[in-house]
Amino acid sequence: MLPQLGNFLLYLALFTSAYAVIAAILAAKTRRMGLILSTERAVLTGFVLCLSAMAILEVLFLTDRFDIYYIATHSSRDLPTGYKFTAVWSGMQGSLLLWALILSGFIFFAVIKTRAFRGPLASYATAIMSFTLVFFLALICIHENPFVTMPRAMPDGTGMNPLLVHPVMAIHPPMLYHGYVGFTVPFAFAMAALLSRQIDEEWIRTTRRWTLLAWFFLGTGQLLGGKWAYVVLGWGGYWGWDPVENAALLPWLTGTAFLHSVMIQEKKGMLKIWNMVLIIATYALCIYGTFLTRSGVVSSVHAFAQSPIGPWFGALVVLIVIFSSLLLISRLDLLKTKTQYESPISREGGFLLNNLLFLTATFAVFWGVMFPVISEAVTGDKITVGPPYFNTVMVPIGLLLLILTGIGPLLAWRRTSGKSLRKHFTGSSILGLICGIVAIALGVRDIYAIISFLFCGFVTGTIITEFHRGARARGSSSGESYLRAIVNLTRRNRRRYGGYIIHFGVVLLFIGFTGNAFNKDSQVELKYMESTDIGPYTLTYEGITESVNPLTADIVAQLGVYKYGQRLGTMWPHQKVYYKRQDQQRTTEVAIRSNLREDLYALYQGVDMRDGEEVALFHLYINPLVMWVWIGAWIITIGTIVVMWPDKREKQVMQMREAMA
Amino acid sequence: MKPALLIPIFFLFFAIPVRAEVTREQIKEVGKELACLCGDCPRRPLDECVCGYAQQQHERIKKMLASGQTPQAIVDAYISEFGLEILSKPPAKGFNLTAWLMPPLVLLLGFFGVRSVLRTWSKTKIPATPTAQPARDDPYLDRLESDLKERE
Repeated sequence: MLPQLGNFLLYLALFTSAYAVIAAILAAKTRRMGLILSTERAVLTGFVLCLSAMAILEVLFLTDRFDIYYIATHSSRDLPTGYKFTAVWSGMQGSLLLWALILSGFIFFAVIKTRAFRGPLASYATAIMSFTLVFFLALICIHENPFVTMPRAMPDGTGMNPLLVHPVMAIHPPMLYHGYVGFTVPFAFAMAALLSRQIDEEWIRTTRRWTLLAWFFLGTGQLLGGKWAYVVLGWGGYWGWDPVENAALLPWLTGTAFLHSVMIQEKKGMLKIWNMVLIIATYALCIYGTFLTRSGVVSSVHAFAQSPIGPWFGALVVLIVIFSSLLLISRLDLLKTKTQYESPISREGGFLLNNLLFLTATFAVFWGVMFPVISEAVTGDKITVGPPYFNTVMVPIGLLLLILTGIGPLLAWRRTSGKSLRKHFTGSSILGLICGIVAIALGVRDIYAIISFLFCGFVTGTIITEFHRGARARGSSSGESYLRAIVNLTRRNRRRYGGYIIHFGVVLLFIGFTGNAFNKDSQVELKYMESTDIGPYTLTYEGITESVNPLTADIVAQLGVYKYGQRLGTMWPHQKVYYKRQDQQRTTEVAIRSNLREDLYALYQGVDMRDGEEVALFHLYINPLVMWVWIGAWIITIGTIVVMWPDKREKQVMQMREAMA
Repeated sequence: MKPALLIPIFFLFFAIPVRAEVTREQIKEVGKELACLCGDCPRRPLDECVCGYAQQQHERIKKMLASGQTPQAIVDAYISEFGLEILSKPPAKGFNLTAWLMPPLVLLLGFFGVRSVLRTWSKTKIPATPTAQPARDDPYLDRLESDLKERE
């Protein structure tokens, strides 16, 4: 009964959303209040239906309904309850339903938020968002229905992909989906602005928070993916330039360019066409990322997500690009602005350079992802574009973006004088130089690493300078204490100072990335109570214990960790054998000892016999500065919250607009 | 055998080339040029990959180095066996050179594009921001900036 109900709700959601598309278009054209209200109700109904369908699927997973094909192939009786809950999005059908649910939720909240200014802009935006929802629901209903039942129930399921049985994987996909889906809102409003010919800054103001939210989710989703790779895949790194990682990076890069570029439009009314291009590219790349994950065009660690629906997403990317490009071209006259410009050494110049670098980075990643396909088509030879390519191409671009993070915000609009440059940048430059010199003194010889530390110091200097100048000025005019002045300064100007906090998080990310230049590793075979050295650490192999759980058989190796003869603790790297699975799949659980300086990372690779004696095989790593990547991610989170925190003045403006409407 | 004959034989023993043990760094040096083609890894460089296939290749590279082959000869041997796909990055020749040239070319073209846009803007002599609405926090920003100016 429940599967049939779930199926029925999905079809109902599909028809309701299709109705919302038609009603919204008619509402935009006729401006009839009845139609507008009807659209809003259809959107709400669509959200409730998607939510109900998801709730039913969750109940079916939690109650082990192995007569449903999707559940029988993605869950098992012995899967812990928490993972049964997250197993819903561990496969294609459930992840598409999650995507549809998030999208329906975003559409619903966007409609709620824009009720203050109902009109063609909001109606067209609703139509475009609902069309995307129709696409997803149609795919689910026709191709990837999670409620399909089998004639006979299986006694037990085949289980969840063992690689996904990890707490981080429970939140990594939903975060990424929030990011991908979130960009639907600014895209829809941009297209609605073109359709309704309301080419002012309204669509940007309306979607600013949505854009930031999508950007944050997409970025955090990627970092969580990196964390998962670091602790589960066992190769000692968190970013492997895998095509699907790159696919998520692409819209994040153009989205970041867009977030910066819209500031010029808000402040100066410039770059209207360019911002349209950026948001179209960002949204198209979001769908392109999904296409890459599902299509199997390129080989990836995400191969488990492949499905025959890849071409559908390919078609959607083409449709988005053609529709939005034609629409943009037809409105070019409305978007042209006449703008006075004085000097390249200005905030405008800084933003343009920022956009150029982000777009070059996007192209470089896109080109690297697609080049194996292109090369094979042209030359007939298969080739590999792996991490060495991306590191060579992307590190210089990344460093240029880093230095711009420090320079850009301190440039004045229109023109920055030489005197101002000296005043703003002298202290920061000195701090940067000190960092570079200290790095060299500490033995760093990698040129990119030295430059990175130098730039990190410089950017940190500019951020400190900005806070200090603001706090000093505020303190002298209001008599506030220095700390109070900093807090109030940030509270009164969340966008600006929240942005600086985000930039500081980026600096910390770069410090973490730079640590990669000093990674050390060693592969060792250790007999019982034998020791090995790596960096300042001595590790002693202290034996193996085995335990059998309902889901896995765990083989746990014990390593005693010593530094300068003193025992620091014990590490337990282990392997999990999914012994009930036919393929007896093994996963690794690395052991990591982290501090701000470095991670000691141990991977247990099994046992072997050497000269009749058993030896345990380990891959040991020292990964410097990795902790700063995760700290940077938290700082970015804090900065994003600061920027997005509701502003009283904004609320008042919204209330005024609501009253006027 | 006359004992005198043993003397040159003794010295000949020292003339036999003795190879130092192959280090992990030497294996990694070769491994970083090659990709793991196990099918499961996302084509990680062999020096970083920890899968079983990569371990076998490490052993193979070790043996090849121990037998006196140069790193380039080992890479060439891999190419002849697996094709260009075994290289961890595209070779910088022929059509594959475009993999390396395109990103800097795009940056360069973009730079000229931006310069041309800026030149067009600088020729426009009209008051700025005729269409832009002031940001909501402008009054505070202006006050802050003027406070800062006063202090300078």
